[in-house]
Amino acid sequence: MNTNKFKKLSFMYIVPAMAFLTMFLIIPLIYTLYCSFFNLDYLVKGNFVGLKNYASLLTDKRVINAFIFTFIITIISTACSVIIGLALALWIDRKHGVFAYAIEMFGLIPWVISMVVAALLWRWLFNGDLGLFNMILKGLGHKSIYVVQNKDSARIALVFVLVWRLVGYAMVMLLAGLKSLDQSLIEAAKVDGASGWQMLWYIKLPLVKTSVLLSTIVLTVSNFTNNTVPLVLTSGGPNDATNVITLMQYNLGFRYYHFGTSSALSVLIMIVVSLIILAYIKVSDYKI
Amino acid sequence: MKKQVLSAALASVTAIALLAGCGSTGSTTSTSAAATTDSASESKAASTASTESGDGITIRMWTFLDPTNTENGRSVALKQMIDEFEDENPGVKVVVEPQDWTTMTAKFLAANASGDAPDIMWCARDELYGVLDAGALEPLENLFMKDWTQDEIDDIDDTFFRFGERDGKHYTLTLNKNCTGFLYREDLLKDAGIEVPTTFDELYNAGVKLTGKDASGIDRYGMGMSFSTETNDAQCIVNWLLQENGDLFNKDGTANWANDGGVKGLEWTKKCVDAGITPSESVNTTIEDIYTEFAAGKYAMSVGSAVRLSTLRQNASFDGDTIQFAPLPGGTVIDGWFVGVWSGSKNKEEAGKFLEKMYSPESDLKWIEIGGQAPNRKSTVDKIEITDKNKYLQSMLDAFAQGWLPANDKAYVGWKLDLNYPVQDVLTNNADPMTALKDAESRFNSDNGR
Repeated sequence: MNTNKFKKLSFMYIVPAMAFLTMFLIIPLIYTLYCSFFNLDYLVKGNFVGLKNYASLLTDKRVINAFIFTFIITIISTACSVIIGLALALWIDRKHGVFAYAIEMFGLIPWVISMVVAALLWRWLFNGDLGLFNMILKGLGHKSIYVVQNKDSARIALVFVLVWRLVGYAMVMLLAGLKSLDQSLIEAAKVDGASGWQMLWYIKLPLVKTSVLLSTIVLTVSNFTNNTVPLVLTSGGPNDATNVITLMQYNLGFRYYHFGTSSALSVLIMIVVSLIILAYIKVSDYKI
Repeated sequence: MKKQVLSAALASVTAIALLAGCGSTGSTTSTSAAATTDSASESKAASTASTESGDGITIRMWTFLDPTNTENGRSVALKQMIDEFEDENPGVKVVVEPQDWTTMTAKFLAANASGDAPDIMWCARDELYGVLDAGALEPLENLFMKDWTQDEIDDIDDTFFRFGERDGKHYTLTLNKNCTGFLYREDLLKDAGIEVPTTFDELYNAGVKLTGKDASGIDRYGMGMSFSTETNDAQCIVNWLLQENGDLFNKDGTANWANDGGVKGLEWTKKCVDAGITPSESVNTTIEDIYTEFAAGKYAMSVGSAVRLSTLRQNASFDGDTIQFAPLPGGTVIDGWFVGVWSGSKNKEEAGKFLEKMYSPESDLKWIEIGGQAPNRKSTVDKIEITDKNKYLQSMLDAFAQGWLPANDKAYVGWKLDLNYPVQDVLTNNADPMTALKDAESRFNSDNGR
């Protein structure tokens, strides 16, 4: 097959995927950008307002606070998920048979069940008088803790549920990386007398760097853009204590019908998420 | 070269899509409320064309009710109306596409902009201004109402009907008329020797008496309230503001909350939480949580909507018939679902007919008897007998006659939820009530473009 024919055939293969991406990603993206320059209250096309929507967002204290809070919980929950996921993956890597499968399966359940159901489940578990959490506390002779009603505990609960949801995914991704390691390297390290810690630090971790990086990127984006868990678990409260940026974006659009401003915020979120991904790739020196 | 061709092709696709998007939005803009007023002949032509196609007509309706649900009274009533309508109109089929009520109106606006909205739409009260502004509904005078006599119009002419009016035309009929007040357990009030409270002092005192452990040792609170800023019904601070000021807004549409009425409302609410009548967790509890907990027996009284009473009676873990409804002191916020025909519908006449069917005197009785709703028509009021069991209907009728609705000349979106921010601020930060109310005013004014 000559080069031209090969190129044409290759191009044909990627056309369906490109068309799909164009239809459902690129066009909506460009259209969102376009909408962000207009007054689109109640989805009625109004005047061209230029960068006014962006200016109003960037000078809004609530938006800035929501961005900062989202950054903080994203960093904490992603770090916890990856660290716990890695620890679990290293542990399961040494196990075999039904037990290992069972742990992997149970670990993945929070990832595969509906986010709304999971968040609602935790909301009721944390319920002050009727929830299981407080029933156990009461049984142990402690007073009830109103978890999602107190600012600090609501934040902790939010991080906890985000970590709970993603730790299984991180574990499976990292386990896949560990399973694909060349066993001859491990054997060689053992022969050279490497301790367990040295094996982890100098052999395993550098070799699963790509899996760690990819998991971290996926989890960061997932946590940064997660609207469902904060909406259902804490409703962004109390008093905006758990108000994440995507909740603001949702409310701007679907509560106040400022679709132009909501589009502008979507673009800002997309830029921030893209920058986070670029930063990860840069820091990890990952070649694409 | 190939790269350039590919880029050009992509750019063309994008440009076409953008133009298509603009076109659709643009057409919505041109379909303003005024522009739709004279489209009766157009709609008739469209419906005739549709009928003549020989394929029959399908009317799509978006509502939160699901006619396949045999447990919910309102759904059962709706199903019966659909069946009757289809029998009376051979070739016409009504398809209900059940929606989540919290985002239903926003989805309708989006569907209107993209030209694929349902023929009949149930709109939320606070969003109706935007729906009318987008020209998304057809004036009823262009449809069935042109044939109505003055007596027939008088039979439905009330605050709700006038709320759906713009420039002398009416766009909606209100179904599931509702009002916010408080739900209470009559048996518990009787046992404690308490009359149904009519002032805030009485309500507080009743709450104190009714708070305690129930027979099974579970903590029961006197008064359930929810201060979440996500899903909610109007809470007591709204009634305090109505009691003290008569309205929640100034004439220019700005919020009028940072005043003595607002401060009294916040202080009263805090007093209830501090006294343990209302659990402190209410600070972030949604109204749906409250309904579930009320049915589980956690509250003796609770702020809530009258329209939820029949479902609560069904779901209660105690004798549900003891649940009753009364208006809160100060004033009653009235609400409902404002149902209209989409201005872009190809089947406006038939859609109008079904809307008329849902509002007919016979259907009105179905909504009441099967769905546990309040009457929509004045003539129906005379037909129903108020007994001990359904005396909540009288409270609802009284509320409808004197209740409060925001004006429909401006957007008043999110005010119920915005008024929970100062409550949260006072309860969690011990903030100064006046400062918290001023912050809430700014939030509302800014979010509503004032």
